[in-house]
Amino acid sequence: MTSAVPTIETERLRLRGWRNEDVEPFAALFQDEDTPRFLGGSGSYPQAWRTAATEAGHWVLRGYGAWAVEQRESHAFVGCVGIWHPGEWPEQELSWHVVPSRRSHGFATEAAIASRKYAYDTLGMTTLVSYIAPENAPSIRVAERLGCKRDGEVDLSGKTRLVFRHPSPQAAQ
Amino acid sequence: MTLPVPQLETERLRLRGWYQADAVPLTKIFEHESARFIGGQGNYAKAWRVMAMHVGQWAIHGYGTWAVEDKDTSELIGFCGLWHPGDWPELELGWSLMPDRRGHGFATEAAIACRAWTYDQLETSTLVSYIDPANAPSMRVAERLGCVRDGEVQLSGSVSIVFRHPSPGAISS
Repeated sequence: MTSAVPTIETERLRLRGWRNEDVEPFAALFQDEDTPRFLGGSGSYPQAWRTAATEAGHWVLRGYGAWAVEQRESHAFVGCVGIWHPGEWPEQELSWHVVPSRRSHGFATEAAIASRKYAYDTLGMTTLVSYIAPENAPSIRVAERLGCKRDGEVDLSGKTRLVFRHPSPQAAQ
Repeated sequence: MTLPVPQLETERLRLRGWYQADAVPLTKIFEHESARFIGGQGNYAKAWRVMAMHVGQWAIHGYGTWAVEDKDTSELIGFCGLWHPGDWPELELGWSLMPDRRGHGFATEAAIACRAWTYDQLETSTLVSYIDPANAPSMRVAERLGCVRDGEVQLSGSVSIVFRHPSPGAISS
């Protein structure tokens, strides 16, 4: 059984649907001391399996979601980037999580630009936000590179997050 | 986007694929103290993620859990079906009902239908149910289903009792 998650290619990356074999490299995100407090989880393989399944289910329920991202040539797993909109979220969020070994290459920005273009051009969304923990400086830099502007704060599951609003479809062209 | 989740019917119940709107009534299961037996208590945010994870399992494995509704009223009364995250030793048959729908034999009725589908459609000749030693009502369901105790297992940091289901031959004979 496959759910029809579209594949998108960028210069260096492929954004595609989730596979069982993504779980193992994805688990690196949940072992990283810096990451769990932003993702809201902890643990490694069991947590990664459940998160990957949740992302896959999000596609089925919403018709959009976050992609598994790999490098085009090596197929090495890079992370999870796309649109996240669980039931209680105030708006559709563009989010990115790159495994520690693949950071600082601009992959989050590259995948987020492709995701945003898909959200605007194919899904017809007219605005997107990214919710970022105040202490998550690397992600704030990605948001700034994406042209986001600070747009207040929001309480998500009892945690304060900065709201970064993305450029509109016209401005992002 | 929809997944071809097969619909099953029993005398009193309809087992179907999940709808986004199910997260609202599903919350009642996770707000109840007995949710400690199925991964922990939570609110609507938790229910939405659990539901998405269950939907995602269908996308990943081609099997999963069904939303269970009362055939007469179409009300969601719980869920039942297969659960096999990456860290689980075996394919599990699980069930969970709304607190106000317990004690009518619905879990047993739903589980019999799920087990029949599993033995008929998947290449497996055995199933287990992992039950918390403190969860006496679920152990009674397992006994009604003809399960026998088959040791203990450590799952997600706590001990569960393994209840092994009758083989396909033992059920049909």
